[in-house]
This record gives sequence, C-alpha cells and structure tokens, in this order.
Amino acid sequence: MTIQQVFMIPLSLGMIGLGIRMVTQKQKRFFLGLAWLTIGIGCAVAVYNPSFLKGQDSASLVLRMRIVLGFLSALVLMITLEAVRRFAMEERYALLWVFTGVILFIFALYPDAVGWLAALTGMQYVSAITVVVFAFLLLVVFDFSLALSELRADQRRVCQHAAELELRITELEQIISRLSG
Amino acid sequence: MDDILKKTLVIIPAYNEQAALPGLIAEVRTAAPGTDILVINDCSLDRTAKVAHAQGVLVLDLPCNLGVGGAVQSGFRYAFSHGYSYIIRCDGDGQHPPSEIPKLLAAMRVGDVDLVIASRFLENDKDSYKSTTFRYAGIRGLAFVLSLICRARVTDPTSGFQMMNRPLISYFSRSYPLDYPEPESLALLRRQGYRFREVGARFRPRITGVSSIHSMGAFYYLLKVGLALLVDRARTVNVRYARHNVIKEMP
Repeated sequence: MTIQQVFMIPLSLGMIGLGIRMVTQKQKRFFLGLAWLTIGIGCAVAVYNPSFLKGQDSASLVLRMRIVLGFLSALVLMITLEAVRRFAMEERYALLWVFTGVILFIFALYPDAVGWLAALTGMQYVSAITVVVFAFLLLVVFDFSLALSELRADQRRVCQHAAELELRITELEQIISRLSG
Repeated sequence: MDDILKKTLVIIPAYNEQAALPGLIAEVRTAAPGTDILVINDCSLDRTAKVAHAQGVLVLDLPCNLGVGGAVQSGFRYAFSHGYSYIIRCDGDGQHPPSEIPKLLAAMRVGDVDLVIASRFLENDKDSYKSTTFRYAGIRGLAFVLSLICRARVTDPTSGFQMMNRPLISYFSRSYPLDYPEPESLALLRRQGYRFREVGARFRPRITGVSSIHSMGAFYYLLKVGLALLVDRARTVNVRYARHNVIKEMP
C-alpha cells in the first residue's frame, strides 16, 4: 500500500458516504450528493487501480480523455441542476450550462460524434473536445455580459428612482414643517 | 426673457465638487436669475450633498455612482416629471462658466432647435481652451466623424454645456448613454429627428477634480464612442419618441 492509497482511500470513502447521506437525507440535496458520489467513486477507482488510468498505448489516451470528460460533464450537470434547485441560479443561465454538460457527456460516450469536427479541421479527438468546451465557455461568458448589461440598466433605473423619491420626501417634510410651524 | 427662465431647470452634475459648488451656484443665480437649480450628487465621497443643501438648491442624491450619463439623465427625468420646459446643464467642476448661459438662452430663443451646445472651438480664440495635443486631435477627429453622421457641423462633440427643450428632455429621459454620453447622444437625437446648434463660448480650466477622461481613458473613450456611433447607425428609429410624435403629444 502506497502513501497515496493510505490517504486517498479514506478520503474517497468519505466522499462516497457524504454523497449517500446527501441523497438519502430528509432535507435532500440530491444533485450535489450525486456529484460527491461521482467524485468519490472516481477517486476510489483511481486509487485502487492506478494502472487503469495510466494506459499503455495511444488509444488509451482517448479512453482516459473520455473518462475524464464523462466525469466532468456529469459534474457540470449535477452542480448546475443543484444550483437551480436551490434557486441559486436562474433557469435562463442554467440552460446553457445544462446544454454544455449534455453535449460533452454525449461526446464522452460516443467519441465518433466529434468525427465531423475532426474531419472538418483535421483535429484529433482531444483537441476537438477542447475546441467544443472552449466554444461553450465563450457562449456562457457572452451570456454573462448580456446579463451584466441588463443588470446595470436596471440598477440605473432603481438608483435614479430612489434619488427622486428622496428629494420628494425632503420637499414634503419642508411643506409639513411650514404648515405645522 | 423671464418667462423662459421661470420654466428652466439648471442641472449641475457633481462628483466630489464640495469646493467648487457654492461659487458656481452663486454664479448661476446671477447669470440666470429665477431658474430652479438641481444639483445631482453622483454618490460623491466628499460632502458635496451637504454643501449643496446648504445653498438651498434642489439636490438629487444618487445612492450609487452612475457616471455622468446616468447622473445627467436623472436630472432629465426630474425636469420632465416636474413640467420644466427647458434644461441647462452646467458641470459642477466649474469648467462651464455660467456667465455664458445668456448665449445659450439667446440661441434657444431664436427657436428652430431642440438643443443648443456651447462650443469651445467655434470662436477663433485659440487660447480659450488649453489641452494636450493628443486630446485635441482626438476631439477633432471625433468632431469630423460626428459631423458626417449628423450631417451638420459639430465642432465640440464632448461639450456638456448645453440647453435643451422639453421634447428632447422627454426623449433623453427615456434613453441616454451611460458613460461619455455627449457624442453618442448627438448622433441619437439627430436620428430621432431633433435639431441642434452650436454657439461659441469660453470655457474655464476646471476648478476642482480631474477630467473623467484621463490619459489611458482617452483610448477607451474613442473606442467606446466609436463602437456606440457605429451600432447606433444599425438601430431602428424609436418612432414613439421621434421628434414629430413627441411634439404632437405636447400640450
């Protein structure tokens, strides 16, 4: 048993336990629990059999990439859904993330799906996936810019209105003090 | 003259101008007697609001910093909802000498325009405005482009020393650019069918504060305004607030 295993096995077991507790608890945090379960199982497998990840030839590079991508997209999906469930994220923004997660998950299961992109650009699987991920991140960031602009416009309206109301209150106070005094 | 002044609101956007405000307000009162004065405190860090209150003028105290565009627009909104017919904008840093207000008034009284702009460059008086070469070149370039877009001569596109009438106030209180608003607002108002005229005026060096367009910001300024001007061309005219429709609805 190596030092890594000594540390990692209890850690991954702990994560799995945490995941199970979250899923089965009365006050459910279902998707986050699933996320912890995924990470825990992933760590446990990696620690139990490191050669599983090492791979011997170039074909396993794609395999490893697919495994990582599968876990990653599942994580994205779960965290997003959990955030929506807790009202921490609006559906409008969640939609893009969910879409990203689903697409990546499909690419992880069916590597041939990126074939068209690879054929179009001559890229290998890994770089094709990187391009897909990058494109979606760009989309998400763009959406944030839109949201930010909208928020700034709203904030301006609210701010101006508050100032107008304050001025009206001062004027009313002056009228009142003149009437009573 | 008095009847115009009685329906006029002088708006003074101010950010950290506690030192300049009392003098400026006194000047406005002598140059334009009978007008109401509204100081818009754009969330200053100093005692601008208190100083303004002490002068007995109206004060709009913005709870967060909106920048020049947002601050000025809150003044437009106030003027529109309180039935003023004219607005004179005069910045709180003392660059816009109130003694030049009669020139704006005279041009507005001639009629035929919705906006009168005080221009630093219209008079052949080169000493009247000191500036770095780079900034001067930037302003000239902007003026050239804006003149093309507006199909009317613009010499001082960044001047905020302006007087406008109620139809234009009504439009600007709905839509006004956020930061560095002056050049873009010119292009916007032309597109909506409003008209403007420039009159020559002498500006002063600012008494307090620094220009909102500092050296690095000049690049950002040009890029931002350039982009805004370009995109505005691609926007459709907001017919609801086009000049002829707005004037139809005025009592």
